[in-house]
Amino acid sequence: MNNFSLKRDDREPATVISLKGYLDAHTAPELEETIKSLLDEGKVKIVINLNELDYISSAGLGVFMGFIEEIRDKGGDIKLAEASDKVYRVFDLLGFPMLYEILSKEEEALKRFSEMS
Amino acid sequence: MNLKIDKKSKLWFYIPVIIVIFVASALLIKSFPVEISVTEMLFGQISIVLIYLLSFNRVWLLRMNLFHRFVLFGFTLFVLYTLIDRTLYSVTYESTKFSDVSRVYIPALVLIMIISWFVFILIKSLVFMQQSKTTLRNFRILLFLIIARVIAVLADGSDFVNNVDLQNNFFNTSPINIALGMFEPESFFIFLIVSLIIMNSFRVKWIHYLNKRDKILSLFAFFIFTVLSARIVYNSQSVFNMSNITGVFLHSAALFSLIYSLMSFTGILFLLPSAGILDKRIREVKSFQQLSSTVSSIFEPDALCEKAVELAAQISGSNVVWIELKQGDDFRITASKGLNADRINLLSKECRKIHDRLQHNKSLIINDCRRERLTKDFVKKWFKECSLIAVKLVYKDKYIGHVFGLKYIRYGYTDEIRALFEAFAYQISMALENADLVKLTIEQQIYREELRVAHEAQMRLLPGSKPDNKTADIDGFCMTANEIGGDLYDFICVNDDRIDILVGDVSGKGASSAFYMAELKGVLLALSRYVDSPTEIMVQANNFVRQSLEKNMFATMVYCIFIPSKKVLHFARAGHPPVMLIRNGKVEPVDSSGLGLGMADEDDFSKFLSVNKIKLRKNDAVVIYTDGITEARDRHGNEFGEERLVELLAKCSDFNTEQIIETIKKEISDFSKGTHRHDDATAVVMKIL
Repeated sequence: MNNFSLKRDDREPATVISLKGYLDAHTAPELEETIKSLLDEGKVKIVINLNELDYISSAGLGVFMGFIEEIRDKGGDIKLAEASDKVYRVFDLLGFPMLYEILSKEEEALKRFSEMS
Repeated sequence: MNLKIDKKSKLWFYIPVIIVIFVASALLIKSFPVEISVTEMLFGQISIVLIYLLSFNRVWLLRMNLFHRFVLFGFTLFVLYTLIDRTLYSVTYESTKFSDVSRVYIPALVLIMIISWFVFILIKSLVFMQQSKTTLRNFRILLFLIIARVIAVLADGSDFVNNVDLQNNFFNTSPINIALGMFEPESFFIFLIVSLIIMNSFRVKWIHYLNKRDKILSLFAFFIFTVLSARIVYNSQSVFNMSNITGVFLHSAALFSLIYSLMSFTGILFLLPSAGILDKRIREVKSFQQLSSTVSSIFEPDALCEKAVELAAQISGSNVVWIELKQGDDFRITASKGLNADRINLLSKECRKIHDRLQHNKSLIINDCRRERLTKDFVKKWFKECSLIAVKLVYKDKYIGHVFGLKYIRYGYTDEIRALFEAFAYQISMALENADLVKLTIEQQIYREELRVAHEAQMRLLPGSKPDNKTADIDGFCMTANEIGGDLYDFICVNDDRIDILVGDVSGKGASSAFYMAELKGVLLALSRYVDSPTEIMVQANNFVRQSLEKNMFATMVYCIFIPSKKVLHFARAGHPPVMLIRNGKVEPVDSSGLGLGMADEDDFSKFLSVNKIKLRKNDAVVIYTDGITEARDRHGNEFGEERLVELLAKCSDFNTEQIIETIKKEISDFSKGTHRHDDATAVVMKIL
């Protein structure tokens, strides 16, 4: 099975996390840890770049749900960007587009954050 | 030894030998200075052959331990000595003429022959311990020479002639005399025999196997044997007076016994100072053996350490020994010996200073702890003087703990003990690792058993039978990925004209999702009794999931209410893959909007949730599945996907429910063959009859 890796990039006005490979029950804790540490640092504006993500399982989706309320309470948000059709289909089935902003480009997501503040 | 020859060849070997002895014994008996009748002769011959045969069956002798052999040896020499010194000697002093020797002494002479032979056999059993190639050869040459000497005396025909010259030759066996008389036949024989006896007497390997105590005992024993043998050699002249042959035999045997005893005595004497070392070695080997057998029998780490500490103290002679094993960043003392637990605890804490020094070395010895910077403080508090050894426990590059040893003397640990301790430490590490593995295996077995039970429980949560209905044939299946998973499906016959069908998937895998699945099923079962709209049921289920499940968990679900009389299927979809409708050979995904259960609060959830209605016709089929089917992967990591499912279902247009289920199951199994399926695959099929 393909490995999973993530890259954290602290930019203005938000932190970009780029995901790569397979995000499932085994690899989800890594993303969870990363987001948790962002919250500890007080960074609540997060863009998730899904460009290189091949697969996301329900456990992977659960990571976003686990944090979204807390992040939104603190005035931040998680925005998803550059999802492939296949990954988008999974988000779509679950109704993520109704709860999260899913944008086609990372820049757009960053722009949204700038507009917000 | 020669008893191992198989029966046939043994017989062929013995027959000529017996004939030779038979003839030889006739000559021997004839040589006695009295008239002997034919009966006496025959009787004598048969006795000698029997004695010979018996003396060859010496298994009983080989089975005796060394100590018993010594006792027997001593006893034999004593009998021989008494016989000669006390019985014959007095006779020959009174009359040196053999014509005076009465028949009465003949049995004594025969007895002397037999006992002399027995002395040979006894010494042979010692000589042949740990025999080498030349042992047997040398011994045979010696026997041959003695027999040759006997024959020479016989051939001389001068038996029972009190040959003073002959005697003088025997008792003046000083080196010079021997050297001078070397070319005289008699002296030459003696010279050869003595040389051979000396050669054979070097075979005293059994001494090495005696422990210190036995060595001291043997030293005394062989001293006595030497003295006895010397007496017999000296007194054998009285036998010569009566029979030269017996004399020669006795003389050779006694000489052999004398030289061999002397050699053994010297050997033991020289080895006595190092006797303790051998004992120690044997103790060490025993401890090691014990440890090895302990290793294979004890799988409880603490018990294993207890035993190891005991044995380590024994082999190294340490006053205090303890084993500490790594536990996280700390160390736990698993076993100790020599001091009480509190003391050991304090010691172990003080000894942490040494750990750094062990980083690059396997072990460390501090010869004088009072002078060593790291240890002097605590040692001065508690001990007069001491030396210390510390060995790291390492197994396959994994650092698992230490063994410490303490002796209340300075310079208590030699490099030898260090090597021993290191080997010992390796054994312990290995044993501990084995114990760990065994524990893990047992745990895994228990875990597997628990999983099996959980799996059975989960399977019991799924409907056991199809709903009884004439309009539609409904059935489903669930192929679990791990032993327990989060998929569920159920049929609820609410009343005669309403069958609820639900297919769901609780996120995540394993035990927790299975528990929530069971809980959700209960909730839905209760809701179905008094709520008749799929959306309302979904909203209630969403509330439940939000309250009960962890934040990062959710469930997807399709909830259908089928009205058989109208052939209408109402359904709501919460984040679940669409429902597939197979109609006239075509497959159509029927969608409706809805968020996954637990993803949003009631307001948002109901806002996005819609209900869909399908009016079914005869031969229509509906397939509701979980993402485990479309996300099944082949060996190359390709997903089964929705398109493939649509294609597959298109072929199932004319199939009945059972056939459709079998087709899907087979296709998914074939597709994911050789891989580990990572998600449950569940589907419910409904065919309108």
